[in-house]
Amino acid sequence: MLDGAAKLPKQLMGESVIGPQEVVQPAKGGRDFMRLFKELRQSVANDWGGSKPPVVEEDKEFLEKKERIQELEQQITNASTQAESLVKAQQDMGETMGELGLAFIKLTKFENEEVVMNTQRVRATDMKGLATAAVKASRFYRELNAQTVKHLDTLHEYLGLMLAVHGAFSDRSSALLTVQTLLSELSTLQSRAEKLEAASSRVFGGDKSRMRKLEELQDTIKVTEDAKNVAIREYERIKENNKSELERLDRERRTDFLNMLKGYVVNQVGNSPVNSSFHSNIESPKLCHRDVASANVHVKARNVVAVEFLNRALLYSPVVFEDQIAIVEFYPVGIWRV
Amino acid sequence: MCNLNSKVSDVVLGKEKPVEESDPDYEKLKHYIFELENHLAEAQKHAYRLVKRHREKGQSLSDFGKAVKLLGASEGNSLGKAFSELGIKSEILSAKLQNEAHQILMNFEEPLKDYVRAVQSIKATIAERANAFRKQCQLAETVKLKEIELERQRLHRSEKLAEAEREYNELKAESEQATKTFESIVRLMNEEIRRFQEQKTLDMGIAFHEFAKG
Repeated sequence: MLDGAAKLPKQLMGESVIGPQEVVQPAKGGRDFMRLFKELRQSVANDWGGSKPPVVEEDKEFLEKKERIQELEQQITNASTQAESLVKAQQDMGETMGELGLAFIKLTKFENEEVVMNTQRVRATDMKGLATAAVKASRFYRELNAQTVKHLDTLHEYLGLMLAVHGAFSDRSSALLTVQTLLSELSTLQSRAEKLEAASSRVFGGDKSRMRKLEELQDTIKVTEDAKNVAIREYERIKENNKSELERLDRERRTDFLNMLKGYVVNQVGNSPVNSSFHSNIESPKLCHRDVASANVHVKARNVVAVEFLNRALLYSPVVFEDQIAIVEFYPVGIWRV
Repeated sequence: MCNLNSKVSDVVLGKEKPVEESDPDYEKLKHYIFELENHLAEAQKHAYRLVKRHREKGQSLSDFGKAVKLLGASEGNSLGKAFSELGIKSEILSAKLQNEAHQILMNFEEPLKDYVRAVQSIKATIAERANAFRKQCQLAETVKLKEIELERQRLHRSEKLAEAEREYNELKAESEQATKTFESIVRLMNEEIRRFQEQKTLDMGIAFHEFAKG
């Protein structure tokens, strides 16, 4: 800050030149106020000026990728928000299941303490089964949710990475602006040099002060030319870096998202309370084997959804699902199965 | 039965004590019913919340499914298809959860609510029984007092004797009616409790099983 303030008076008084060693750093965040001012002027000329700048972003592939990344970022943001809501809903479900279990534990205890008739004992036994199962289901939901958070966190991570992508795009724009600024400046200096030469040639014997000015101008042109070349090299380097980084991002994102999908689905299946070995110990005198069989059919019908999903996923992404997954129930909606 | 001696002296002395049955079994039953209502109300509240949670999870799954489908469209290729499939299945599961919410509401929460209503009905009967008992006791006291009054008038050969006898007979009939009413309430209550215990055990057993089945 202080360096920049110290340089400014000299810059305002004399010719200000952006040195070749300085162009590799972006103007923003630097201490060269004159350079900042020049690039700002160029930027305004780009946006509002009638003429096209000397060099523009013409890489179609990059522009398409940039647009795609922006669209992707929007969708990742949306998916990340919905994933958070889903996690919250799962957490609430688990908590309520636990509270329900606790309420029935209290009820069971109460019926057993106040027992007068046999029907109370029967009800207490039924309730105890439900209470225990509800509390267990609540624990499963907690575990399910912890794993869900772990998997869906990938969405949040890639949202964070988008910031880095924006940074890279910003660096590219800054480098381009530096190139544009230097080209404009070079053009200006060259036309001034031409005017000075033309004016000198009209005076017979030459004009010493004009000659001196011309020499200084030519020195400045040389320095600016060098700076321009360095800026162009830097811009090309950034472009190449952008390309390889975007390719890497695409590759890694594909792998990470596929792993996320696999992890999420396997977790939803594997952490179902149904997969535990506890059974219903509620015996209703009115239900017979026919009802039990129909309950099992009901279970199987729900499993079809899970199996269908995984089969299709296997079809589309053979690299993702390497193990055979035994499915019992896709979502832990029911507490237990007979 | 009401303790009439102490009640009479209390009334004479101007002390009003609340008149209640003193049967220890009945006290236990009342305590059971009152406490049961609290526990059941708590359970029913959580059952209703569970219905809400199913709806909420269903909704969030549906929103997640939509978001993931859009993400799949942005990604394209096999990854896009996998996202799209996840989205479709999430939406199917969302519909199942909404259905599940409805099932829990109808087959679990509603029976619990019925259970609470049945207990509240017994509480109302307890209140009726208390009123009938109080009325019976008050009338029994009044009859006793009237009897004393009648004896006094008989001794003094009062000209108001006939009227006093008539009033006494009316009161006695009222008192007997009150006793019958009270006894009938007690009988109905015992039947209600027995029916309540048996029916509710069955109803709740079915409700729990339906809940488990999903």
